[in-house]
Amino acid sequence: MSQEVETMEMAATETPSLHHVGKEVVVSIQGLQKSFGDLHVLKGVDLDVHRGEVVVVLGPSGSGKSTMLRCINRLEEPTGGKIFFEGTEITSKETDINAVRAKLGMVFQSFNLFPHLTAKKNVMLAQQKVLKRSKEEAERIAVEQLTKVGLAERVDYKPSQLSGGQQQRVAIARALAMDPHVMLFDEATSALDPELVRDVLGVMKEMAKNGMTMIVVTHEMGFARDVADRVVFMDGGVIVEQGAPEEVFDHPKSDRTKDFLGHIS
Amino acid sequence: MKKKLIALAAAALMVVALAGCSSSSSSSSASASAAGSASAPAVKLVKEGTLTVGISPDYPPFENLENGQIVGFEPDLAAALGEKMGVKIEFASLNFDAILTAVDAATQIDCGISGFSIDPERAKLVDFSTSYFVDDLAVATMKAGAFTSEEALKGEGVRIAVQSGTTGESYIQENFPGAEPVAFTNSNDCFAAMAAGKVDAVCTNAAVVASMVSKSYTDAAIIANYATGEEYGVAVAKSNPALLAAINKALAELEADGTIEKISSKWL
Amino acid sequence: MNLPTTVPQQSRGARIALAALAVLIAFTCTFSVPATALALDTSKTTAKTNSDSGADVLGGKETRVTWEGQAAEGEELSGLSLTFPAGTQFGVDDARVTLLKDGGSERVAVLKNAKITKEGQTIKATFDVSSYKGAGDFYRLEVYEVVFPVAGGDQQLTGTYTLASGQTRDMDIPVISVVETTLPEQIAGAIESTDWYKAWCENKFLKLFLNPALIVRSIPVVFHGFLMALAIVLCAFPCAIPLGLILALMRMSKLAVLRGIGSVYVNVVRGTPLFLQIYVAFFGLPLAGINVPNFPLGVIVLFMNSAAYLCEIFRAGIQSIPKGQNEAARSLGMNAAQTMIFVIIPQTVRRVIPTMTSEFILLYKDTSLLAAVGIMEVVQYSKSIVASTGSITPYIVAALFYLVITLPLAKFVGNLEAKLANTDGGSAPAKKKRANKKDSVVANGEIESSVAIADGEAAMGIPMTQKGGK
Repeated sequence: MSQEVETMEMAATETPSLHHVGKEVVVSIQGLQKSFGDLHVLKGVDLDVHRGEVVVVLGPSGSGKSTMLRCINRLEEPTGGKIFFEGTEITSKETDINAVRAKLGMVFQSFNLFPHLTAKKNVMLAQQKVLKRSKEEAERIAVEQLTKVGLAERVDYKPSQLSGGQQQRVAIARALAMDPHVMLFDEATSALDPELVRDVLGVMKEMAKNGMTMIVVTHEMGFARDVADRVVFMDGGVIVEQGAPEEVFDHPKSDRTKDFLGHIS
Repeated sequence: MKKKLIALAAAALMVVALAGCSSSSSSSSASASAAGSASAPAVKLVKEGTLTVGISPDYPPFENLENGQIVGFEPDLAAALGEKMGVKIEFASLNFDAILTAVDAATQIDCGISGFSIDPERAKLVDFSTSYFVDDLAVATMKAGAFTSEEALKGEGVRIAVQSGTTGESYIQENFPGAEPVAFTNSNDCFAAMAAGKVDAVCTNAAVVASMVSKSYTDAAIIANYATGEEYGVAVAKSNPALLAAINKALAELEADGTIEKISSKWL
Repeated sequence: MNLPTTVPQQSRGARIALAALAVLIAFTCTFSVPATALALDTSKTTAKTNSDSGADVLGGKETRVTWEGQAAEGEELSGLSLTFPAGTQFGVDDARVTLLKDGGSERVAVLKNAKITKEGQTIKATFDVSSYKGAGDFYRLEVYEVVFPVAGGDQQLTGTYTLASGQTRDMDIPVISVVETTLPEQIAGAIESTDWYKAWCENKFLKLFLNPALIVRSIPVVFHGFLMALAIVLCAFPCAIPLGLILALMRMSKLAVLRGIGSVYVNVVRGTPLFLQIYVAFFGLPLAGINVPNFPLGVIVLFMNSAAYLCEIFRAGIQSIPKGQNEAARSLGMNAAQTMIFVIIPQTVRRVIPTMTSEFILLYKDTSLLAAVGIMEVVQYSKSIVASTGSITPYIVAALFYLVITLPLAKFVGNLEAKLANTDGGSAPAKKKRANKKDSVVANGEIESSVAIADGEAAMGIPMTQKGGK
């Protein structure tokens, strides 16, 4: 709890970044713009994420939070602004985006497991093809990661034989097997039945505890409150407000934040 | 059992297809009535007052399509027949293969006039009128090709284009045992295949070969004629002897008054 | 001596046979009738091929025997006789004698006044050509309804000719090779002689479409075509798959040039009838100096045609894979090629197998179009029997040969579809329950509709796009 005390003290200052200040900035988003045709989704977003920080992004549908997340590994091409990952400008054409992506794990709302492969093979594939790990090593790591997410018994199951929660945990193991420096979660629990959400959130909490840098787009307020180092509230393509969870949840400054939190809870 | 059912279904489909074919018939000249309404009363026709003639218009100069009209020696002959018999003539354009079958079935057409040589095998299926034309076979090759004499064609492995199911085909089989007959659907394709070098020669009815060589394929030449004496006749269903008699009577009249001679010198 | 030293140009029949004949005649000349001039320069006797494959003279089945002879200069014939070996039947009603000239290339007349009679195994024709005043010197005797013994073997006919002067001489006739009747031919013959067959044929429909004798007769013949069609399609289809895949990838390429080439190819091939493409390849290419033998050319045309259809099947299949699959693979750092090879294509294959099977069936049926350019396949063989018998039955047999392949395949596709329906859609099966949740609606709709498209297209008998010209 001492962390949180510290956070509250710092909240008074203009700088939103809190106890991680002074640590290395891993992801730096500067003036990010994104349009889909006439639709202007991101209208200038600035965000720095530090090593070991857990940032939870909240906001109503269409606020641009998922789009921002997808710009970070360039699943969406930004139309303006810059993004740096560990000092490299990933928005530059010269950057080998595949090498960057290997270090940016991503978990999707719809799991996106490869349905033709078993859980183990799902976790092995990119290790072998991208990291060029041997089959044996990839398999060892796959079993290890699947065990960590509680699926030691399920390594040889096809995705269609697994529940949604199990599938999402396979997807997390698949991302973790790549030894990512940052994990991106895009509404990772939204497609799950409520009773399955807990397992997945448990895995995510464990990762946070182990010091993983995480950017999490979610609707899970409880998770945000418990795990986030910082909560970012987005609306209309901009960051409206950010700060420590208690600060944003209990003392929102913007009317839009108040409105959103009022509706949600 | 299953297959039998399927076969039946397929058969039924083919009947429909056959009907579909003949419905694309085009009616042609016919000054009906008045003239010679002396035809025997027992003549059954598919369509009353109209003689429906099965024809495969891909055999110039006997019959061919020109601007959508079926023209040639046999269409003119059919028209003259119609005049003598006092009926309208309507053509049903059918595949050569299908005509005899359709004549036998006697549901779509009354007779077939499409360069049918009278042959005992066919005569088992349908009746033939007296002959109105006697044709021979001829062989043509490309002038610039390696086969400019009949002797050259006697070798092994020579490929000779024939029309499938015609007397030309069996002539080659009987008399050129070393050659390989390559069957095409119509005479145009036979010549196209020869021009393309796919076959070495074409063997089909002499009048057709002569017409092709003089019009469309002037770079080809006739190297041999075989007076096989194929007599062309009108095919009529065995179940319709009255029609056969009427046609024979009309043919005899046309022969006697020189009409057939006139038509044949116009086209052949 | 009036001996021919070279084989005359106009004569027919194999050259060797003629040479042998010349020698025989020479012998005859030397030993039997040395004193007088030889009355026949050349002659030959042939039997019409009557096997359904067209290559042989079969025993036990009707054929026509033709004798032709060139009279020596100044000679006229007044009679001919042919004696068939014992066990051979023949008819006299349709037999005829024709007088020709110029070595048989022009007809003078059919001798209507010829008297043709049958005496035991001998057919005799007597005639008078004096009225033609020497206009013709080439004679032909055609004997119909000749049935050689079932067992076949070399048949030795003998014959005589009578000169106008009344002299009768023997002629030499080389043997006619008759092949033993095939088993189907024997069965067909046996069927034809039964009473129930005659009753069966009373019904026009049964006679035309389901003539049992013709079914028996057609099967072995059409079977040759079946093998040909199968060989063509088994060569063409495996070639069409990689080409189709390449075209599909071209059509989805980022490079406009590749997309352009791919779509022009696919649209031209799918937009024109296959028979036209066959004509261009068979008659057009040789004129452009490209000469490919028939079989490989047929294979090439069919596989290039099929590739265009497969391209669209693959493209639809690839596009039916949810976008999330690509995103997941790319987010793991896999490049576009790795994603395609290890993630997208393996899933596409499972989805397109039913549609591909339909395309295989279509391609197999399309081999019939090659009949137009002289490739002997199922339809062409059946057509040759249809043309000589006027019965549709061989086409029914052909249909059976198609069904032999297409029915099991259709069943296979059906089973496969059922199986896929059970196991497919592993991307996010649990989502449906919460499809009403705001944010997931769009993603859900997208994925499910694309799956539906793939499944719909896979249904048998509904090819993605109707082929032209069939």
